[in-house]
Amino acid sequence: MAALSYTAHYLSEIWKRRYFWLALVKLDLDARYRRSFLGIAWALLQPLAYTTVMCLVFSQIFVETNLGEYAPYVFTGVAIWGFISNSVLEGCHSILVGEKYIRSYPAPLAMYSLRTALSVALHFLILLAFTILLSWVIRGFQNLAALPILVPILVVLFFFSWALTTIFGIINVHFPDTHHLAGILLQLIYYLTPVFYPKQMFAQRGALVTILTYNPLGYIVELVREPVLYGRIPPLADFLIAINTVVVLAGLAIFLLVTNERKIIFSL
Amino acid sequence: MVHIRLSNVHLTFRVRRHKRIPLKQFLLGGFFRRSVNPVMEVHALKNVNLEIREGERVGVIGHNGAGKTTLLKLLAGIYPPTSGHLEMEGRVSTLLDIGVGIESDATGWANIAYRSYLQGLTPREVRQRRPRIAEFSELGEFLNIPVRFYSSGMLVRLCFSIATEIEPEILLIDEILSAGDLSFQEKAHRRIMELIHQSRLLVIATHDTVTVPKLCTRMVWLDHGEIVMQGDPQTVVEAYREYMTSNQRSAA
Repeated sequence: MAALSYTAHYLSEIWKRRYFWLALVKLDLDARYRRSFLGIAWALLQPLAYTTVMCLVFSQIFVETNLGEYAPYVFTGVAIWGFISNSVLEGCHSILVGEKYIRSYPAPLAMYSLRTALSVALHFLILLAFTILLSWVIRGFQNLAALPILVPILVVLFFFSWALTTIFGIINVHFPDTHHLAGILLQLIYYLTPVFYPKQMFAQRGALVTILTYNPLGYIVELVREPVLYGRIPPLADFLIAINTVVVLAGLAIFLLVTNERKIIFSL
Repeated sequence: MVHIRLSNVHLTFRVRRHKRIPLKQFLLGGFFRRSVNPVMEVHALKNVNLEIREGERVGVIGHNGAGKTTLLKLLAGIYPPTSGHLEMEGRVSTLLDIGVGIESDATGWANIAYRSYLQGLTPREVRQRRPRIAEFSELGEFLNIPVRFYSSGMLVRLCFSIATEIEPEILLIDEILSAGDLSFQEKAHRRIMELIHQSRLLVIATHDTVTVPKLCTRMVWLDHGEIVMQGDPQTVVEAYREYMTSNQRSAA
């Protein structure tokens, strides 16, 4: 009961300061888009360049590569992967960028990682919108019926991002090299996630298939790809695996918040 | 009823020689970590018992490192007590480190908004107080440019104007701040005096043994985190002065 009323109070404190973290999200977006000459186009440039490079490479290695299929495949992969890796890498700084406020005014710690999660998520939304456009251009409007499923998927993804930004934000305060280690780890996991290579490519190789099956990030990538690219509702099993992953991560995030809420000031 | 009650409050900082330990080292084992980066405990507040009621103006004196700022930050809710109990009732406003909490890439206007939103104000309330802050800061057109380009004097003006545009119930002040150039300092001083008189409960940390005690209804003398003496301002200040001069003499 006490825990419940504490949680309610905590959430209301976050809500009460919504204008604060929303203003900081806006500041993040301004820094990302408005201050560069190209604006939002800049956000698209990196994944587009990456997609182009991968298309060139793959069409050289595998002559039978169908670029019309492959290009949007890579682009969605890069967009979702960017979302995951930003959640981790920008997440590492989520608490530290709020340090100046934490030092001057008592407020819920969770709202600082919420800010980072929101800016990461908004950036992803822009890429996702572009992905959908790209898919319409290349494959027509066959995915329209499946698109509404993106709403619950995005909700799951947002909690996923919030959990990651919270976890890495707090750990990075205590261990400042977390950022570097997380970067290396992400690089490894990147190759174990179907970001740029088609899943079927490894259908015959036992060990890799096993790894791909147990890598929850793979399911998260597929959750977005299925409706956007193929106009299919993702299998319920994939959904459940993703939700389970999020629940575990959110549990860890909440644990870290509870243990660090008041004490993190001593480590900043 | 606005009040503060501290019972048996202790505050201990655990400081490491190297500020933080790398994750690598942590994973390599606690034994190694302890030897390389020992934890030092700093007992910043020791068994502080203090009760302040509405209408009181309490001055805190003591030499550097006595725990004055730590006490104020504890009252502000920034540091939690390590043990003991802290009870506060009333809306707390602080004039501690006024420079903290500035977003240097954002404009002066934006920073006014951030600080107000952090305190839980709504956009409408911010729109109401914004002109007053702008006017007091005398920054004019400069409020439209990022704070990064401000001179330190301009920054102080902005921070001070934001921090003091409050209706304090409980007011916590660390030192009397010297803000900006001479004319602004006078203005700032007047503003602080106004706030002190508006507040329903004041705690002010100071080195000043002349002006501030006259403002206060009670003085608290802190030394090494402990309350040495508290009570009538004149008595406490005299005892403190005597102690300081005798200390200096014995040092010489």
